[in-house]
Amino acid sequence: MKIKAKIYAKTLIDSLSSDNLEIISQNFWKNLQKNKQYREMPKILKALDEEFAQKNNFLLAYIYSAEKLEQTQISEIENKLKSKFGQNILIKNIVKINITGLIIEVDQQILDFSLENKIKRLKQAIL
Amino acid sequence: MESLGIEGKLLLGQIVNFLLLFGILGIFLYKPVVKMLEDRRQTIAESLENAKKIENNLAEAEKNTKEALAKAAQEARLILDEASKLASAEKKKTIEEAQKQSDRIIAAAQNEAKLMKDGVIREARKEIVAVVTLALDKIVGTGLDDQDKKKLTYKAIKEI
Repeated sequence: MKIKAKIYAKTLIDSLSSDNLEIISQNFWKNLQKNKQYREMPKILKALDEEFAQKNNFLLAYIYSAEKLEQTQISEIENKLKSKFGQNILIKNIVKINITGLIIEVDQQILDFSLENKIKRLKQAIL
Repeated sequence: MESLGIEGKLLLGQIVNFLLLFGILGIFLYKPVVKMLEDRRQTIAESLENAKKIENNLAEAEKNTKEALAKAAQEARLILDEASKLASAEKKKTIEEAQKQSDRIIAAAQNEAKLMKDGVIREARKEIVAVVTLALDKIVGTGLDDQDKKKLTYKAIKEI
């Protein structure tokens, strides 16, 4: 039976505060092997981030950019989002080479600061 | 009387003759003449009366003619007025109809011009969008170096 990414993530989080860390880790990999769910690792890692953020009362923000952001940039974004949403922010920077500018996914919202989006809006404004 | 040379018998005979003549004349001449005169007077009187009647009739006829002419003139004036009114109304109606038609034609022309203008603007916008999009896509795709991308990322952070 296939296990959902969220369950894997919860298990991993719980394992951090458990005495049976080794056993849980082994079971995690065994299940992943048994259910042939290796390809779902990105999903599981994403769910892991979400679970971690939720557990620690953080808001998870995915920042998509063309190249990896510097720490000072991440801090600046973090502060801005914190004042905007009134909550601590956990930032995950994801590199996507076809983006010019930034796209932020936070609290089920998409904040699109990409050049592509600006072109799209310009097109709509002209038409 | 004989001393005066008047014979009684002769005188008597003369008197009788005279009376006879007078009587005969009275019977055969005086009455017809009087009658003839009376007839003539009557005829003249009748003629005069007829003439007067004719004159009266003429005057009456003239009066009637004048009245008829006046009436005819008035009627003619009324007819002319009516005709003028009708003509005026017809003229007004024709002008109004022409004005309406003119308005309709102008409105249709304006509408068509607007549609054409809108169409041209729409086409121009499409063209502009196509050109701008093409240019921007080219810039984004190939024309931006790492430095430009960094600048845009920095700008995006400032926009948050």
